[in-house]
Parts: sequence; structure tokens; C-alpha cells
Amino acid sequence: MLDRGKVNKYLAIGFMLALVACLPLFVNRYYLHLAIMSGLGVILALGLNLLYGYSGQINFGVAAFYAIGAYAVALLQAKAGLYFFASLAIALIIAVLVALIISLPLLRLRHLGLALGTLAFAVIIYSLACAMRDFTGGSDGLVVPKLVLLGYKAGTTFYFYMVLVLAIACYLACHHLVSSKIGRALMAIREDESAALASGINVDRYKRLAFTINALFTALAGGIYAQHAGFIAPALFDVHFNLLGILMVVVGGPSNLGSVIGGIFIMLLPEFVIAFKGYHIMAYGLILVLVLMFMPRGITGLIKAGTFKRSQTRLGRSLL
Amino acid sequence: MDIFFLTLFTGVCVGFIYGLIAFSLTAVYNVCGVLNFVQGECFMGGAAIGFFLMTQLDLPFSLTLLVILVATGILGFLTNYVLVSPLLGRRTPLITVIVATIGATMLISGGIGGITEWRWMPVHPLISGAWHLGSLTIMPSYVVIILTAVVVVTGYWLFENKTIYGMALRATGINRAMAELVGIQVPSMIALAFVIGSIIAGITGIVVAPVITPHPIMGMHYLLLGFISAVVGGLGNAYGSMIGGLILGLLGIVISSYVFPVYADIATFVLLLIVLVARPKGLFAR
Repeated sequence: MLDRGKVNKYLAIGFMLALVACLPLFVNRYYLHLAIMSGLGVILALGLNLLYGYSGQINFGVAAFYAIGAYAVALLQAKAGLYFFASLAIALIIAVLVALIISLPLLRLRHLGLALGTLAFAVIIYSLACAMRDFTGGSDGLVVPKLVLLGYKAGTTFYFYMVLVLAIACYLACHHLVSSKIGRALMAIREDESAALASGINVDRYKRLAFTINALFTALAGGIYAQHAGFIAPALFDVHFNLLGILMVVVGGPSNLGSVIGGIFIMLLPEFVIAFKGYHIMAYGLILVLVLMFMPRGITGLIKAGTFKRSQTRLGRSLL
Repeated sequence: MDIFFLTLFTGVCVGFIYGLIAFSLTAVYNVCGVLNFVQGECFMGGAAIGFFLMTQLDLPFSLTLLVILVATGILGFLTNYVLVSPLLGRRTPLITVIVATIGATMLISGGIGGITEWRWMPVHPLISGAWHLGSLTIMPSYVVIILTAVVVVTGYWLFENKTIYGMALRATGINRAMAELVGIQVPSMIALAFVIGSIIAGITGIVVAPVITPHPIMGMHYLLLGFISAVVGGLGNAYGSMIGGLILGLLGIVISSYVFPVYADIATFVLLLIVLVARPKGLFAR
């Protein structure tokens, strides 16, 4: 038996999704592009939230995996002549392998040390993309071959539905994961690592799992972005992109719903502040400061308070 | 050989720039455990005030320095009073507090950028001409940077160890509860730390401005390198962070002069990764 509240909730969600799915009928390609970027933001934020929001480990280097996904998709098609879906699959495998290897040294760090370590990794990937001119095209960038689907060139509408389906799938996966044994283990690690260790949770393994899922989702978003945009350059994956990832999670709030809201909010915010002509960055900063001042636990934190524990906010010297 | 010595000298100067920013970050971090990213904008702001007052209005350096001291001091106080303390008081996660200060940096650099229409902001050297040392030619601006670093470090050491306020500041950093118990006004001490850190960053900005040609968005770059210097030197050890800055400055300049400029960044961050993994508390941790 389904109770009435639940039915209403599902109906509301279904109605909203149906509305979003009809978007290509009403809006032009530019707004559709924004919708795609928001969807990619949601996928990225969901992965990062699993790592930061649920297991309390920060990743300030999401641009690294976004770039790995994008460059793998672009290079495998341009140089190896693979089909888009095959190269996307290989890109995801590469991202997972890189995440598994790099997490060995990185996940020994915590808090700010982890933030800096992951940032260092992202900057190294960025600089390598600039330095290896023959392979990646250097800072001039790389053109991604167009995707041909059943004899037709895939357009914005195709990517819109692809991103929509993937974003929903990622959300459901995260939702499932969080309410399973894995999710409980991650939250235990966030609350108190030694206590989690003492109660028999393999802390290292769960941290690495969350890190790898984060890398997987980010590379997925990056790969689709490369194919949709048709052109990639290192400038897209610089330090500011890392900041965007953190902003999505912090502004949205530490929950799956928060990542959805944060991902959309942060991806669309530049479109609103552009109205302030030369002062758009100032407006961007002002909005961020105001949002964080009045909603320190993110937008969803207003609704549901108290997901973070004291240990994370304690002042002290245990930051590294 | 001359070129080699000049390269080393430039590296040392760049190292002192990073070191000064790292020093200003540590001055706040040691007292209240927060990294104040707005100090990158104090650095940029010092240079920008120099541009407005010295380049555009032709005012003397002494007056400019006074304006910088007051402006960055107020900025540091406001950062703490409006943003950091209220957030910490509500038990906000530390990353959120740092992200909020990053938002404030966008607010400030965006404002200055809007005013200058995102143009470069050149500042004349404080001492014009060039000095000759044997066969070497040395720009006085570089010597000014080194002197500033020496004065700031010495001054801060004297303040920290010889004055009652400095000792109260240190006590707050070592043990808050105990400091409160012996009658130290902890909130005022935290405010003082923010003011001092911001002023050091502001002074660094005006001193460095003639060497680098400032731009409204440069704050984040220098802050990041200062932060890395602080971590390499040992976050929490102000004097170690100065040495961390020197290591980074020398490494960067040697790689970009003798290997390839692009690899300077890679070398810096590889060094950071190695230090983080091998000695998570930095090279000179206390």
C-alpha cells in the first residue's frame, strides 16, 4: 500500500520531469545548451557530494577527471577512430584507473592537505595538457569529430536527452548507494574516522570507493561535454573549474537533492550575472557571499538542518 | 655566470613575495585556524591603491602606504566581523568558510576589475634607476622586496615575543579555552590577527607592484602560491613558511629559465605532492 503523501510526491516529481523532458519543444538551442550544462553540473555535483557531503573527504581537483574524460573521448575518436560510445566507455575506465592509482597517496591526506593534494593533481593534468602540444594540441585545443547517429548528425536535442537520462540514473544510483550499507559506512567515516575504523569499517576502501565514483561521474560529465561542445582546450579545466565543483556542493548543501540544486544553480548563475556588464564577477562574488552567509549549510540546509557534526567545524590545528 | 646569479637573485626575490603572502596567511591561521583567502585581494588591493594614488594621482609613497595600511586593515577587520566569525559561530564546516572567503575575493577583484575595466595597473618603482654590483645590474625594486620581508619578519617576531598583545595573540592560537580563562579577549585577538595578516598582504602588494605589473585577477594566483609555500614550509610555522616561499621561488625560476616555462608549474605542484605525502605537516613543522 502506498500512502497518500508518497503518491503525491512521486506525482510531483514525475510531472516536473515530464515538463523538463518537453523542454526541446519550447526553447531554442542556446537554452537547451544551458540545460545540458546544468545536467552535467548535476552529474558532477552528485559524484563530488558522495565524496564530500557523505564521506567528508574533499576533492579540490575535479577538473583533472573532467579533463581526463574530455580528452580521452576527443583523442580516442580523433586519433584512434573509435565510435563515441566506445571511447566514452574507455574514457570512464581510464578515469577509474587513474583515480584508483592517485588515491593511494592522496587519500592518506585529510582536510586541507587533501584539498591541496587533489588541486596539485589537477594543475599537473592541466599543465600536461598545455605542454604536450603534439598529442593534445596544447593550449590551441582540440576539435572533437561530430557524432553520426543512424546516418544523421546528433544535435543538441540528442545530448539533452542523453544528459537528462544519465543525470536521473546518477541521482537514482546515488540515492540507492546512500541508503545502503556503503552509504552508512561513508557517513560513519565522515562523523568519526577512528570510531568507524574501530567498528570494523574498512575506512581506506570506502574512501577510495567514494573517490572513484566521484572520478567516474566527473569523467562522464567531461566526456559528454567534449562531444557536445565539439571543441576542448586546457583553459576550460583550469583552477576555476575546481572551484565550481566545490561551489556546487557547498551552495547546494550536503545531500543528493542539494547537489541537483547546487549543480543547476552554479551552472546558471553566470547567465544571470552577465547582466552586470563589467561588474559581473563582483555580482557573482556578492551572490556567493550572501548565499553562504544566510545559508551556511547550503540551499537544502535551510530545509533540513544538522547533517554536519561538530568535529568538522572544530577550530584547531588538525587540518593537515 | 652573471645570468646564473641574476636568475638566482630573481628566484630569491620571487621567493620572498610568496613567503610574505604565506607569512600573512600563517599569521591568521596560527591564531584561529582559518585560511583567509581575502588576503590575496589585500595583496592585489595594495597594488591597486598604488596604481590609483601613485600612478594616476601622483601622490607620494608615504601617503599611499598610509592609505593601504588603513584600507587593508579595515578590509581584514570586516572579513572577520562580517563573514568568518559569524560563520564559525554557527559551526559551519571549515571548507564552507573558506569558500565564503573565496566568494569575497571575487567580490573585491570583480569590483576593482570593473573600475579599471580589467586593464593592467602599472606602478612606478619606488627607487628608479639601477644599481651595479661588480658586473651585475640589480633593480632596486627587488632589494626593496627583500628589505620588506626582513622588516616584516623581524617586526612580527618582536611583536609576537616582546609585547603583551603579541603574547596574547600567541596564547589564543595555542589554547583558546585557556587564553579565555586568563582574561584574554579572544574575539578581539582573532580580529587583530585578521587585521595584521591583511596589512602584511597589503604592504606586500605595493612593494611588489613595480616588479610584476598588477592586474585585478592576480590575487588568486599569488594567494595560491603563498598557500603552497605555507604548506611546504609547514602550516603553522610562520618562519618556515618564508623558507617554503624561497624554495618555491627558486624552483620555479630555475625550471622556467633552464628547462621550459610550462614545466615550472608542474615542478611546483609535484614538489607540493611529494611534500604532502612524505611530510604531511610540512618541512619545518613545529
